Amino acid sequence: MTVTTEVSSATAGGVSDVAPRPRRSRRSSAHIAFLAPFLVLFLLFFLIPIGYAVYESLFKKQVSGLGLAPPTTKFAGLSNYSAVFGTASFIHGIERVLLFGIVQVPVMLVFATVLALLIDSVAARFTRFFRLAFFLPYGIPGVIAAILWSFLYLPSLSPIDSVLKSLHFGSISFLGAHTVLWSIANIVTWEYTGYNMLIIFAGLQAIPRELFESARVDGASELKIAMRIKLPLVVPSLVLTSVFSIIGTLQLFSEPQVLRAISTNIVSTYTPNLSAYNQAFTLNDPNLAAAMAVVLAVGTFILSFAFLRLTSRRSIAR
Amino acid sequence: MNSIVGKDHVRAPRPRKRKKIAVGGVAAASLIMLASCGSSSKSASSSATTAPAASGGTAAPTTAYSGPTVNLTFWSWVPGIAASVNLWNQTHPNIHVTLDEVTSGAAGTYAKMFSSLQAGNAPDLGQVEYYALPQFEHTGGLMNIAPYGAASVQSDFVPWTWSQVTLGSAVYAIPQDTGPMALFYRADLFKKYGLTVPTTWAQYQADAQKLHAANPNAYIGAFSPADTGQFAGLAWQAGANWFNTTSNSWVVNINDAATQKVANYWQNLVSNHLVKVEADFANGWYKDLSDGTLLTWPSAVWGENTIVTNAASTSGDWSVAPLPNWGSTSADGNWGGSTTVVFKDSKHPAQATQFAEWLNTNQQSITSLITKGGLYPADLTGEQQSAVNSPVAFYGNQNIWSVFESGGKLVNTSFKWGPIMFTTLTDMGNAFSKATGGSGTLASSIATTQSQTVSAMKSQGFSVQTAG
Repeated sequence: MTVTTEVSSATAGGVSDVAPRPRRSRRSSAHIAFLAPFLVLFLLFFLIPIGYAVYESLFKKQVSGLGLAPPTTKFAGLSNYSAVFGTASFIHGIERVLLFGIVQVPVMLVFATVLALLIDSVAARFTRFFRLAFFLPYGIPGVIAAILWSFLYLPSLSPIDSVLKSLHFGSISFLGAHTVLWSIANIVTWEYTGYNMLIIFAGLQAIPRELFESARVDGASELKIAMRIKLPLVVPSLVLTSVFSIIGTLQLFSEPQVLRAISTNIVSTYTPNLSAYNQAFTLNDPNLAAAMAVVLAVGTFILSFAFLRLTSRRSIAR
Repeated sequence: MNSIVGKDHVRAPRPRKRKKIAVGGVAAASLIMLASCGSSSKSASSSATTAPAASGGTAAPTTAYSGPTVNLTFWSWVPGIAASVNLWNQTHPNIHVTLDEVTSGAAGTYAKMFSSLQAGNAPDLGQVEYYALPQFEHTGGLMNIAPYGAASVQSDFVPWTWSQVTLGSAVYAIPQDTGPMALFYRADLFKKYGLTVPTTWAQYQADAQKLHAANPNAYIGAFSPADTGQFAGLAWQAGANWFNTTSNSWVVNINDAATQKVANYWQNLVSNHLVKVEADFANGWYKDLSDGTLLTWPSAVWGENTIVTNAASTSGDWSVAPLPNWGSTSADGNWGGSTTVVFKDSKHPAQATQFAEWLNTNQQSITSLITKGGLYPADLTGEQQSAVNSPVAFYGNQNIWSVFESGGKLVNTSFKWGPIMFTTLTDMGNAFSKATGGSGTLASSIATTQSQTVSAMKSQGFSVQTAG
């Protein structure tokens, strides 16, 4: 490794003496040419749709009297945004997903980290099999996962319920007003633990093995290696999975949408995404839905970056 | 799948099979009708569907159109409606209808209709449920088809359906099917527990108590909070009048005495655990219908097929009685049903109107809608077809249809839906869910819905009054 770099730098130095440096303008136009495919797609499929949503969120449809004439679309300024923040159900939805995230994300990441550490440990057998097995739930589409779990939750069909009943433990209401959020959390944890585990495991694999060897030579136990060496070095992966999870939490949609069919305790504004969806497609107010979507996107952005700032500051301090 | 549902607007679509077995007589009936309605109605006296335009001087009368071929587009989700459309195309060579089979209204088609109306490329014709009509009507989306002779078919339809599709002298749709309500009940279990078939809601409650005392795991019925279509039907029966119009303003009165009465009644059943709170049209509910947990279901005529399909093991156990009444006056409510509309930008409103009338009054077309689409027709003659007027083996050979037919005649004709019904029913369903989950009551939910609807209507620019 070191040898090759020396050689290549030597030759590079030799070449640079001979070859004239390319002119600046040509270089920058080459940059643009290479960047163009990305920039065009980024513009077309990211910036323009977002810009259009923001634009739509500034308008409002108005009728008058009995409303027999077609509605007129008029500029509404920020009134859709004040309506979004004035809608108690939307705010409750945000509070609900925040509560969900505060509990579910740490639980899931602890599981994922423990599983990754177990698979990464020297004593682990059948590593490949377990890696795949833990990852498998992620391969099942969220909607299907929610349907599968709904069978386990429904009181009249649930085997869990009938086992508990036969053991005289009474029955658990998985779909009750206070429990259904955690039933959803359970589905999400089941789905995404394996996925996060894989990212953390990849982070662990990237740590130079020499570190562990020297630790072992110094007499560190496997547990100590995991806590003192592996965990600190895998922090970047943990940050990454945390950010993904925070984004995923705020966008919670398919699981509550599926469970709505069987639970009487999931309202149409249960999560912010569900609110925006219903606003656009059942209540026929795309402008207000656009405002909700923008608010949600900005909120996600702020939370994710606040988390990144927080974690990077901590690592600098250390 | 369609028509049914005052509730799908708040839910994801569910596959709901609605097959019906054609009974022998249908073929004979359709042959007779074929004779009267066949070949593009050249004779002046042909059928009721092709009566000349009522108001002179407007458009050409819709009879015997023989100009250049006109192409119409039609969005519908009724299973098997293609058969009716094909029949029309065969018999009306100059007016070709292209059917676009779409997903049910609340599952996305209404949203698509609204956006295409805004973009100016809506189809000529579409399927719209009664509860959704005012929202299309009061955003200027529908064509007034009275100038094209639509008023002439009024007498063909069940009276309440006609008042749903008209506003003053304007006609905005042709009724297609209906959902008059009645009480499905387990005749075998009523006998077992010694219950009397209730004729009043007070008796229904007495039965509930007696049953619950005899078996705490059995319930007289279920209350599904998100199913506001059912609740609306029950309020409709009790004499509710949620919406009305003056010459230039809406009158919103969701929180009226009749609705409060119904809300308090069900709240009482819920609070005393006399009904089971669960989502209907879900697996758990189907199981409860099958295994004797639920003894009754106050539902619409199309519920017949829901039970046949999802509680097949109970064949012979169910019967149908008229919906229990409030006191001595007989009344009924309606749950579901839809219409055929002509959208505002149609270039051929006269021909589109002619098709809409034909689709829903031609007996051969109706036969096909009944047998393939599982619809219960709004057309009075159609209600006499044997497929919807003969004993049903599953219901112990009871002619259950006659109960619904007489129920349909008792549906209050003055009940009106509002212009933002999706919002109203969604708000109501959310409030009901919270109430059954422990915060608030059904009655307070109604009051909340009233104020939410009024403020939403005002913010959209509607002129609104609240009834005192």
